[in-house]
Amino acid sequence: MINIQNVSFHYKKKSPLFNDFSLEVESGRIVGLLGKNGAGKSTLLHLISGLIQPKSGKINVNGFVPFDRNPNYLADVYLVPEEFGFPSISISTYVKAFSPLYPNFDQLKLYGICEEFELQITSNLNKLSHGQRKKFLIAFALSTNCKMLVLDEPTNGLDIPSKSQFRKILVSSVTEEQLVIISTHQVKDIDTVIDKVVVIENGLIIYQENIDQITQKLYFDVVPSITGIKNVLYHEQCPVGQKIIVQATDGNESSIDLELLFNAIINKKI
Amino acid sequence: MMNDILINYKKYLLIILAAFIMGFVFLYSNMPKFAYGNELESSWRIFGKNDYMKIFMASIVALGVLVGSSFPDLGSKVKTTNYLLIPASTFEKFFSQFFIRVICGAAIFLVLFWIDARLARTISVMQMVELKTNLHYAYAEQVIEKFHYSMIFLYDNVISYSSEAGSYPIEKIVYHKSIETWGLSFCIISIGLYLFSVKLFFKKLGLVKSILSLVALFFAMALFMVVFSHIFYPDTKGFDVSLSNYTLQNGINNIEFWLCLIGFVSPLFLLSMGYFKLKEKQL
Repeated sequence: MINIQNVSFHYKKKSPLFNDFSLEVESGRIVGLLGKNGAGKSTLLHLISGLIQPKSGKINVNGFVPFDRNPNYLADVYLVPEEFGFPSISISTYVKAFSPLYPNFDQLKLYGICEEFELQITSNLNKLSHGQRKKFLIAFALSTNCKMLVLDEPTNGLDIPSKSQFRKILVSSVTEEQLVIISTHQVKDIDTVIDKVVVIENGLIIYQENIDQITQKLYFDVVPSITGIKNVLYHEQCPVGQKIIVQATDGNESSIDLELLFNAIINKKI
Repeated sequence: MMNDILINYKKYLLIILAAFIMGFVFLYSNMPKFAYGNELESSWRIFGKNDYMKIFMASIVALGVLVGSSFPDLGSKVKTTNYLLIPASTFEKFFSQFFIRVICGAAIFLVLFWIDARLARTISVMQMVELKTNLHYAYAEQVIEKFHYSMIFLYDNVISYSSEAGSYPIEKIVYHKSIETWGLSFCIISIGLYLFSVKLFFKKLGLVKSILSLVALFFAMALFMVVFSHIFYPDTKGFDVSLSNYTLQNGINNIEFWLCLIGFVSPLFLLSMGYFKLKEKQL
């Protein structure tokens, strides 16, 4: 569980990124953290992971203050950063070196995921492509069974089949005790896996809603024209006409077009 | 610590091998290979403690570099992220670097230097020829002294004396070569520890900035001494440094003692400073 209260943060010689920022997220969720470039998504992930210290306010994750970097806390948090690097060793050596640091590490799960991602455990990590290394990092992160997984742009560099595999593996491996936070620009890659959306802009949460609440309130559709349609909250042109968001009525539910929703939020239509 | 060794063992083995070879080459190339007479004469230059000590002091700089190149995982943002999030306490992270770089580094350095010195001597002795006859020189073993650490860290002339009326047993006083060995060695190790700790204060180009800050520190210290010399010794001219020079106990000079003190005490301060900096390290 994450509890952020009145946090302020700014980088040296830069204007404040977060000012009196608060957020609460329960375990057992996959949260999509969305926002434009420079909105503060990665900074928020770094604050939650304990890589940076807030200037003021409190952050509490699973009963720990992240910046204390208590070994017990670090053993239950895994960050998959957007940019990453590996030592020049084989996958098996990497696993041998780092898996003992995570008490809930499941080696069989790792080998299973590696097999699905078509990764050879004897391969040298630095001889793999960027996408393959990313797949290994995701596989390792999921196998740690940490209570909190923080994924920063996890689908960057993955090919189309791998993105689909990633979604499948993520949904099947996350338990009710875990909390997964996914920050991404590529909203289409995660729209079927997340169950909560948090949108931040200029260091403020401008939208946060559970997926089931969104589908109860909003209806997503594609129509040839918006003429004659009442209560259109937001619309965007698409090859076959218009993608629209309207108020949901009579219990009608639709699947969420996360990109459309995001654009509507950013354009302050919702 | 174990995962560091598991990941970097090839690098560490290569460093040990390179240090062994370089140490051997350095010692071997400095040892004499020819003799100019068929008997050992007192006027001959013997390769002994002074020669070993010069090479030892030069070699210890390599140890300083090894110590100074600690925390390689803090060299970039990507590596720093990984390093800070490794599930280990700050103490474990700090101590593992200290243990590997300083303790193991120093121990391996001493062992390698000893092996190199003995090996280089053995080979040089075997190869030594008398120039006139071009035959193996019979007294070769006396031309190159056998290396042992006491010739570096202790005076080899031990002074003994007995105390009054046999009430106490015979005592021995061993004079430590303060400034020449212990002091200088620790000053060099202190410089290494300065680089070890201060590197944590810089995000980019840590080693370079640490070296520059060290140079700045030396200049500041020199300037400080010049200013104090002008205050307490009004006759001081220009950038001269005036220091009163006197002998303390056991023949140790006060300036030697001062240098030793800096060498011995500063690591304690530098290590704790480095530890707290690592604890507060941010991306």
